[in-house]
Amino acid sequence: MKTIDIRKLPELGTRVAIHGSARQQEVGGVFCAGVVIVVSSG
Amino acid sequence: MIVGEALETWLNDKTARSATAAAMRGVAESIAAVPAFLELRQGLGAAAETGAGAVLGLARRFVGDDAAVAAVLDSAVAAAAADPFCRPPLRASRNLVQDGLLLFGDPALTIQVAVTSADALAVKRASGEPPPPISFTGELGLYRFVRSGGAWLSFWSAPFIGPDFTASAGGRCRLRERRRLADGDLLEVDGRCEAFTVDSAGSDLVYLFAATPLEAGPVGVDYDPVSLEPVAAGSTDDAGSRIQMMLALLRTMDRRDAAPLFAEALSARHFHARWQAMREFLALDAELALPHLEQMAAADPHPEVRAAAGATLAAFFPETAERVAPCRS
Repeated sequence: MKTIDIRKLPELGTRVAIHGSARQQEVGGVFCAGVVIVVSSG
Repeated sequence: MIVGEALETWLNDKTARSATAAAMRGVAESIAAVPAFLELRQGLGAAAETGAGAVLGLARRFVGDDAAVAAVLDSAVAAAAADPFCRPPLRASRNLVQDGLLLFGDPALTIQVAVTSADALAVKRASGEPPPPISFTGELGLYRFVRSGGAWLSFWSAPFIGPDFTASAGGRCRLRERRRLADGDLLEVDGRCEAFTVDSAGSDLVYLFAATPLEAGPVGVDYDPVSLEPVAAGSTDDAGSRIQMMLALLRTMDRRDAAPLFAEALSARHFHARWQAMREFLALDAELALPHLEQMAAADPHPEVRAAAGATLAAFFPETAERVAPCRS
């Protein structure tokens, strides 16, 4: 059986992080607790 | 948080704990019985089958119903006031400038009520921190500002985040307009190409926010507020991200018996999930993954996935790469 070291496999040009929310389905339903409004600064 | 003697007393009093549990059930039942909630729940299934517009149409009715929102909050506040150990079933969210409560949670729709602190906003602006990115969430949402706080908002546009999104073609976002909010304003925001930021506020903002993952783009994209170019992207798919983590775990555990799950994940809706599933599959069992890799290199609808699959074939399966030519470049 052939396997390939995943670190040697190419990534996409567009790097995408996994979903960055604090959804807590495990403990009580879907909930996006992320920032709702973005505030400018400076 | 309640600590010390009061907590110890409550923990040692079975009757008190039972009463608290009953109060929590009671408030959950009274919230669920609010007619606007019932209407929302009853209509959501059919609306979700229709699409994001129908779901947000239902949400629009709810966030515009001040009496319904007040009934929910009144019920929660009364229960918490009567028993400090009673935690109403409204999950809280908080960051440096905002506090929120989840009023409604469903895979097709979330509705929150939140307060943005004008004081915290001013402190943040004066802190000298680098400006945060302009975030295009990739999802469709709507805001109803019950109290506008006299806030000024900047509205931004960016190239549409579609299934074929690539960072290299993400272009730049641009400032569309600045506008002062008024109490009661309703904003519909297509996070696939629209975003707004709060520039300033004279007093606290109180608002309701509804969002649906239906018809979302594959990613949310952050744009640098100075260069206005994309600087980061994150999946809009919570379940898909969890599947990715599970595949990584199964691969680490060398669970080749789970290969059919890896193959199934190759048909994920979003391009990045398909390629990540393929990487995991190749690391689990490259021979089983190879036919799928060939197909991906030839016919995946996303150009970067085709390119990555083709590069992988060339690097690790040169004899195969020669006979696989992409249908599209």
